[in-house]
Amino acid sequence: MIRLVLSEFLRIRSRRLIWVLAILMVLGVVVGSAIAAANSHPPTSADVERAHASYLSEHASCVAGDFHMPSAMLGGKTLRQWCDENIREADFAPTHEFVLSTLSDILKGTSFLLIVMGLVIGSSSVGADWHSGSMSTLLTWEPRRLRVLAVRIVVVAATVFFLAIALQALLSLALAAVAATRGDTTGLGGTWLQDLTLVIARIGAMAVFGAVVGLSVSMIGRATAASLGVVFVYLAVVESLLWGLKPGIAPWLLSTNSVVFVSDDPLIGGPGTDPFSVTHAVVVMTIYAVALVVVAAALFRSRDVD
Amino acid sequence: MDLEVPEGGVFGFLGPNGAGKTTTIRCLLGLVAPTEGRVRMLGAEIPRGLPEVVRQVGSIVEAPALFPSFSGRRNLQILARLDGIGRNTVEDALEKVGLAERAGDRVRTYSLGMRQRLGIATALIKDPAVLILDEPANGLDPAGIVEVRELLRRLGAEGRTVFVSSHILSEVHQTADRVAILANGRCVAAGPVSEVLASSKGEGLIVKLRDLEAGHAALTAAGIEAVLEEEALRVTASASDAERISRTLAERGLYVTELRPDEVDLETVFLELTHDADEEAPA
Repeated sequence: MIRLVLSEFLRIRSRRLIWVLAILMVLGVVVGSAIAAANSHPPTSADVERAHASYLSEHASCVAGDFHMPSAMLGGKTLRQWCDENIREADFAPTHEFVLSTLSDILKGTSFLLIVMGLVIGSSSVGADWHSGSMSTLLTWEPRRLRVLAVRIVVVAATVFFLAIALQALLSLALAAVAATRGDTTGLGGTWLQDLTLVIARIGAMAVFGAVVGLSVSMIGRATAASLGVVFVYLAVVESLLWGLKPGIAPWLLSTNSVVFVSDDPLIGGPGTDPFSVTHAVVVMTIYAVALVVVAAALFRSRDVD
Repeated sequence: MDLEVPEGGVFGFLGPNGAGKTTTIRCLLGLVAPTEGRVRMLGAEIPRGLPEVVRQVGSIVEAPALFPSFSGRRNLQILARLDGIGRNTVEDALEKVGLAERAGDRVRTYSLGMRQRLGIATALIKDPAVLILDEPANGLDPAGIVEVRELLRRLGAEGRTVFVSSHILSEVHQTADRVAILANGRCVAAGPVSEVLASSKGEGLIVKLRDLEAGHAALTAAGIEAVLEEEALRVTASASDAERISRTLAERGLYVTELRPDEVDLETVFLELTHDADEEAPA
């Protein structure tokens, strides 16, 4: 088993796609940070006073109930608690200054790229084997197919998680440097670092989820491009249609559960949609992933290899 | 199909396209499940027992299937890690198949012959007791074919069991100790090469003379079965009948310029057997 794991790590490390994606992501971090640095400069005292006044006014309106928040949207919190959590001074900071306390929102905003990266790596990790025919060569060395699939999933998941964490850490460090030199580093007290760490871990887990889905679909369809097409069409067309036709189905869709999980916020909005918890999202996505892996394993075990 | 391959030596596995050679090999390697029947290799039931014996089995199925974007060396290293095989063994294998200088290049830049050599290297790095090779000479130049022939002979002589499918019958004739001929998914002949050759209908004598038509008429009149061919008469008779044939012809003023046994090669037997099997197959 250890030898198979080592072999799989060597295989994935040798794949050019992994390096190309990682380099593109690093370039994205560098370019994004450079743009943030170029656009960020300390605010004038007038900017700060104006921003503070706007924050106080908005917060007061919220507490006064001017937003007419339905009680279901409060998630069991008092209106003041909800306003304190959601109306943050950092959000009113002068826009020409980069504010480090908004880092977790930036990471959540860019999480889509890491999830797609996981999906592509997962799909191609199996699709490339089928395309080149090297799956048959591998199976003449290790004929226990379930073991091959299990180790492949573990190795791909570990690689994608490492990449997702490393890239987010790099982006965080780069933006922290921008904030320290040309922006605002206030509002980092309390549980900021802990919350940020959890956001990074959740996005890493979502990237792994994308990789497992991509790998499983690719194992079923035996092709990278087809599996990516199926996943994107399912998410962009099928789920959109389902949600549009029957809003009550939202708690069972991959896209809504992904948003809830990454944002750590049960509020997904939309008419006719009841809020559902992050735990619910974890359970639903786990069921999706396990079901896909089981189908992929059953087909891989039973079908002939050409 | 009922086929037994004895331990040691080179076993040629012949058959026309679509006869089922590659499918049989895939069954042996657990890649395809047989619809019925049993497969055993090195005492293990296949596919259930394959993990117990797979380390003793090296194989190439059709064209060697390797990652085209990896170097030849990296492809071998990835497989070698599965069995804990060291770098030196990988380098030795690359040297043995003549790819040491190109080992760092991507496989997609290799010619068909080089890929075939790399495939042979993947089969050899396990130091296997059984080698299953599907068309190992495919894409090789004449020198490469000779090298592979010698390699197979050497491996067979070392006591390994080399199971080789090929459509190059002359190669198998020169290399194999035993053969099996497959047609329409059935084994139509199997055994030592000499026995399979002896089963040919082509046993007889070749007679050459200036006037073939007159010779044919003379032999037929004497009750000797002969077939008029383009450059000779093919006479259905044993070598001991040579004297009678030459005397019969000489009595009619026809003098033999050449008289020799009709030597049957594997190609002739192969064509006979597969043709017969085609005729017997239900339409």
